[in-house]
Amino acid sequence: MFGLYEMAFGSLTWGNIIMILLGGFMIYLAIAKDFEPLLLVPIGFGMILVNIPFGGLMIYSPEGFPAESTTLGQLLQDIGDGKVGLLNVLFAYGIKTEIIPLLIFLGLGALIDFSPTIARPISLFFGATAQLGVFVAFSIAYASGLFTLNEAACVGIIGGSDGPPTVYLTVALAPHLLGPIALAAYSYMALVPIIQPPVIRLLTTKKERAIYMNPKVREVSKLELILFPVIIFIVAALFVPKCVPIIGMLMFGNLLRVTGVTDRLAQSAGTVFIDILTFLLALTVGGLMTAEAFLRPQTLAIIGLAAVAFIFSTAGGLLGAKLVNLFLKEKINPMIGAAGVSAVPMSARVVQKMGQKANPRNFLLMHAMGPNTAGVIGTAVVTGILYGMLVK
Amino acid sequence: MVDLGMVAKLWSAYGINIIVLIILLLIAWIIGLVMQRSQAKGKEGSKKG
Repeated sequence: MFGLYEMAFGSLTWGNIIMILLGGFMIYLAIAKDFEPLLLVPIGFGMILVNIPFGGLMIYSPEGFPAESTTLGQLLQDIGDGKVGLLNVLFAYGIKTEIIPLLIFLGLGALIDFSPTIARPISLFFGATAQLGVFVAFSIAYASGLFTLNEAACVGIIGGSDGPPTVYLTVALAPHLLGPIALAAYSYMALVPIIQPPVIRLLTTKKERAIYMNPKVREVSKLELILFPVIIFIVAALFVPKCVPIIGMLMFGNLLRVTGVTDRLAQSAGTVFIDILTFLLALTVGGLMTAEAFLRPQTLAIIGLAAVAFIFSTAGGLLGAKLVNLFLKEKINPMIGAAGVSAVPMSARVVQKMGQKANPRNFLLMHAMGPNTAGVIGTAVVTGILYGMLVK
Repeated sequence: MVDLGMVAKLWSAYGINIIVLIILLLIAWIIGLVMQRSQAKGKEGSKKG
């Protein structure tokens, strides 16, 4: 009656309903709580889109993987036949080929100002030690027996607190976990202001948090700004060749920003270009979260381990700064090490806020931005190393 | 079965990462030092001139 047989109600499972509610919750968090709205709105809506039965935007194979076409001709045929949907095409040609995450990194490079890192190069050390959470979360994930070695590495990389490298590595090592891992990575980035302060308080004394740092940071010349992305790329690439795609895109984007003659390109890369890629990535990631793919014990474990990763990365950066302080006459505020967690600029803001609370004279934002942007380099290098070790 | 050898191998990635970033740190520091010195020399030269 009234074509009722074509409606989706009959095929709607409890899993679909839970996922639709979860998608709605993501959108609520983004709108009402301002949690990473540029990511959580498309992810949330993508979750809703694919959990409506017969929607056809993302078709799954009987094995539970997104359906794919072998050739372009086949793809056109399959689209016509309704065997693949729009999100299948975006996943197969944008994400699985790593094109979208890498181009997002280019846009990110065009947005990042490395001058605080150049002015205080020790920031790079904090950016390195703040990758601790990657390895702690990896070890726990692997030891739990819930994840294979490759899957555990993808869970660990959430601790790098950087979306594109997380997607990059997961697509290569465990594409079936991309949905929950990307969701956990982006959600926890929004939770940095909640996760980091207790860890920082636990590992520092009130006296350490109140250490005063002159807010004036050395002025960096234009030549230094130009040399930095080029030289850092070449050296990092020679040591870790597998990080070339990630760090190459990052530094190319940054070079566009600092040359002074490519402002138009940098502006495009840092605005419209990155925005389009971000919502395509986020919508497709949301589209991977069908009830069958998401409602599994592994997902709960990923959500828990992501918190562990962020906690230990914060601790790693902070302990790195405390270690450096042992050798310095003029002590630095160890909290700036915690900003080595590369959730830019959230973790730097957390440090700034806590610094002012401990000592109202302190203005740590620029000091914290150094480790913060260095953390992006650290995550790119770690991703390259893990990629080289695990991708065959 | 947990392969402890692989776990150790992956942890070595943390060490490699720290070493690579220390090398980058030294390079950035040397570039900064050279730049600051040449800028200081340039300023001295212009004062004398």
